[in-house]
Amino acid sequence: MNGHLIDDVARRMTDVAPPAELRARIVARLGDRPAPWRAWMPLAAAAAIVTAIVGVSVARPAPPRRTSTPLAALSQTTAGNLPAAALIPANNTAMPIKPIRKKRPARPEAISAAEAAWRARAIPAIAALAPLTTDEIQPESLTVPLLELKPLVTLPVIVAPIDADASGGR
Amino acid sequence: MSTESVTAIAADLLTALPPADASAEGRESAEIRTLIDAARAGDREAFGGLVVLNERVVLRTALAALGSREDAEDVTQEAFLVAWQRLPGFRGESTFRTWLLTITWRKALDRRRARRRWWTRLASGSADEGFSLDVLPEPGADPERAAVARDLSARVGAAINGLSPRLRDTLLLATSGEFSYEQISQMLSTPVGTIKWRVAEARRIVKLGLPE
Repeated sequence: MNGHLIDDVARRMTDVAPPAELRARIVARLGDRPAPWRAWMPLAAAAAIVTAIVGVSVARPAPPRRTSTPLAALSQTTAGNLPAAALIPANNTAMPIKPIRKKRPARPEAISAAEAAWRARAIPAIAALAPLTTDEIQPESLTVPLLELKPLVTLPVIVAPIDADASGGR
Repeated sequence: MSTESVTAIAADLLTALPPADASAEGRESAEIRTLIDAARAGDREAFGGLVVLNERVVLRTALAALGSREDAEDVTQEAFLVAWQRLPGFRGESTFRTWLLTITWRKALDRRRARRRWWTRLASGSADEGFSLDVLPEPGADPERAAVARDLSARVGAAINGLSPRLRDTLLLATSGEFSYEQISQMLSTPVGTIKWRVAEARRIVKLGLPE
């Protein structure tokens, strides 16, 4: 019974009739629908802005790359080894930084025949030498006399009696 | 489309459709398709016919979420206006009614979130606001039995009001007799199994507070 009562009460809690003028009110408030292209206007505007930003960033030349080692640290670590003219102040930002270029491989050097013969000269062979002989360097055995230990004799200490008169009569 | 023809179609459909339009899920009747196509083309009278067909169920849906008749009527109007604006984009993946009820439910939840009075009404349990049990009809002629039944109904109503929003919403929608479980599932974006569990759980909790 309780199950039916619960469902009945729950049903009556939402059992309402719409007002008679509801349809008229709704129809009176129906406005003109926005044109389909107007719904896409915000999206199109956002897409145009993004496209413009991407286009500008691509068209602008890329700034020169900076070296990974800071100039200040480089000048401090190599100050003793570089000439004074080569030292660059750390706060010098006006000086343009040239990009690092790879060195091209050196072209083969043109040499004369005499130079080629000089470079290709042979080194004369060294004649075989007699084997080296070495003298014995082992020293002769040392003879050390044994130490003789004598018993230590201590004489008794003799203390002279103190003369009372000679000490000042204390 | 003339007003007379729209009214005639709506009247025929109102008498023909059962309260719970479960059989119409997934397929729209030819008359409703006619109204939808005309309204999509800008025919306000045709849309008025759709309003007549669905105003009651839309109002009950909003009332289930809001508990206040005034708020429910406001949301009903808003939902129909939104449906009118979005009708050109309606692709018929669900029935028009389910699509309309989904709009209604979202609008009602927005209103409920915006108006924190809902929670204060539930917390205070005042009978003059929200789901008022005083408007329920007298259950019997015998004064003594009527008083007992009225007291029991009041206790059931208070217990339903005390449910969590999810359980209460689902119970009110399911017991209204207007929706199938599949329609409630689409409106709440929740699996059908979960809807059934919520209804059973809501009944169980309410029953715990009632005398045997």
